[in-house]
Amino acid sequence: MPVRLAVASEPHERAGRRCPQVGAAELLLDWSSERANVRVGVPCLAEVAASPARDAACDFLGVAIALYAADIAVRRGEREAWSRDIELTIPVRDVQSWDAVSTDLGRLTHLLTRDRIALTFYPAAQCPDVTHAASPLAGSEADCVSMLSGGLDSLAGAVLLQQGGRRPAYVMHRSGNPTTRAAQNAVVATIERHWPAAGVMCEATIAPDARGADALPFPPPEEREPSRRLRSLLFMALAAVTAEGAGVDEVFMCENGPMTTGVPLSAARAGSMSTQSTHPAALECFNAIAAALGLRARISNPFVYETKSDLVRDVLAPVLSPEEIQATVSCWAAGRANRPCGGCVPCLQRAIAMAWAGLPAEAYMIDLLASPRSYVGTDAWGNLVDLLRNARQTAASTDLELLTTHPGLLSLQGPGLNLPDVVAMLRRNAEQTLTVVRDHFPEAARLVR
Amino acid sequence: MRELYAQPAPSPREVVARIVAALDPDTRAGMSAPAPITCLGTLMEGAQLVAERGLAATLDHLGAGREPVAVQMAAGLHDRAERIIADEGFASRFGDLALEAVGTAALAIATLHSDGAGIMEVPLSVAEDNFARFPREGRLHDVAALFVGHELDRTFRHFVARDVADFVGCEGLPTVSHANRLQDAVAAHCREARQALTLDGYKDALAFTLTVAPAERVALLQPVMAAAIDQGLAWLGAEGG
Repeated sequence: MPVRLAVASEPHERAGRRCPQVGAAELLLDWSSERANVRVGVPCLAEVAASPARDAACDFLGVAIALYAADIAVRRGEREAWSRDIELTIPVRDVQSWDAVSTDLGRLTHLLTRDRIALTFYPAAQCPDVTHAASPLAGSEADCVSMLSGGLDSLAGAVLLQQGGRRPAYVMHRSGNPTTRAAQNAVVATIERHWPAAGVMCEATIAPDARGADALPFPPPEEREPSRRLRSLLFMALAAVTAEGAGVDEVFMCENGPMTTGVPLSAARAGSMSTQSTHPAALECFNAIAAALGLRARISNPFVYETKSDLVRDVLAPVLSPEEIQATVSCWAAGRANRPCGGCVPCLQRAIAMAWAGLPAEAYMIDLLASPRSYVGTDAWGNLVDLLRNARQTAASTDLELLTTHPGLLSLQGPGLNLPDVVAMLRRNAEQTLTVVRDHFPEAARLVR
Repeated sequence: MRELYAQPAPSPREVVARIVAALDPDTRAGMSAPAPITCLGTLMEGAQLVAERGLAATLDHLGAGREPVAVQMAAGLHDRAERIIADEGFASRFGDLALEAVGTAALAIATLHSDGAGIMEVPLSVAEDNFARFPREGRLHDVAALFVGHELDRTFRHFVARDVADFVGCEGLPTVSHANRLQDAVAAHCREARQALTLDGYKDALAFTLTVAPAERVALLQPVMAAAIDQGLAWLGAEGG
């Protein structure tokens, strides 16, 4: 049975009378009344108000916020019960336009989540208010938009843009997680230190928050879904709205190639068990929806053919100090301890990239690469084995074997990627991983002999 | 069954047979759910289109490019199946695995008789003949059998990959290369299951399904898919005997 959710943008009883799905919803989402259970603060909407695509931009933001909140609210099942059934009803200013793009939007949510998400749009009597008092875009001369997460890859994107003399408006989805927030602050400080006043920071806050006295219920943190596969859609929508406010078309979503291809580290991680957040097919789909709605933003990823090790060694290390680089965050368990966990896939890839670039090793909660046998049976051990298995197989495979092992690569043809170049990038990534392991981590190297 | 991975030189056939014995009814049913059926239907439809219109026109129909032709055809069919699954709300975990299978099965068909040409070099005329011969010779059931072999390949890779990591470094699988070889052997054994499928009784039914819309195909193909999965699992459960 699907979980039914709805956004209410007016007194809920009235919305329920106009749209039966609202009345039947098991969970209501609200960010515009005293009953709000989602906290929303988005800059740049003052500028968007002057755009001919104002309604489309505001609706896009509302749809993305609703999907993001629903994604968090509904837990996935275990193993083969991973895919979810969700019905989500959303008020929009222009139902006809949204019905027209609903097939593409359905495909986009499928690409990102592999869930069954059925969307219904109803006419909004009063759309949720997403305005923000102060707009950093006022008087700026931004010539592009770049998404900034607090991680290594988006910082590398910022470095390249600044070195190229561009004037980006940076979009940041502010995290409530103190560790991630500290990394985001450090990234902002780094950019301002090296290129004072060369960019504009547009920081958005969107998070479930049911602490208000009259707030509608929202699942408590321990019952929320941690995978957050639709966060990237929210991030893209924030960037598109910012581009509309800034009057620019170019939007950069910077992510390294292996992550972008969505190639799973093992067959058990196929589909959305591996993040597809910057998959070229998803970006292509997003751009098609934006174009159909009359929005100007076109998102691209300049790092499709770069590995994380390439980015750290060739883009970040020549410009920034090791401290500035290592103030970023990669860990999936950020904030659960006073250090990165050291056992998640991003921590492992980061450690390899740092070693490849000759940067100092960072401190982790566990030193998995140095003493892997201590962690047999844990998720961390499984991550390391999958990482090494994938590297070994990729390095040794023919083109046909690689495509047969990772048929998901076929989905890169549609958006126009050059498959031989992607294959070459994946092989380079595998060689970088194996080289670092052999040169720096003898215990782990025993597993790949 | 996990103890098998700890033994010296674990047998892929025995590993698969043990997994089959442990499958619950929901898992078996998931393998012939609407998403995997959609993938089968898309692959057969692709072969039919090539027979009717030629490969170049089929690639255009799928919105795929022309070169490399084998990869473009596989990518086009993968994307079409993925769109139907998204549009019809068929997504499932086994759908993810079947989407992979539609790609690898298409690659296998495109390179069936390729005179040693690499995957990137298969000529259009060769790939065209490889696809078209199935419907022209009334052998859509062989396309179905080949697809089911690939679906079993992806499914059992998935099961093995989920459990095998804990045993890497032990006597049975001392390195990741040993684990990779075991998984590849499991996958190859699963693909061989196609030889054991007797689906020729569904010839006419399979041809008929291609005359209806993809969403309507699901109900028509479900008995074929369920039978094929049952036969394949029975063969694998008996260690290929």
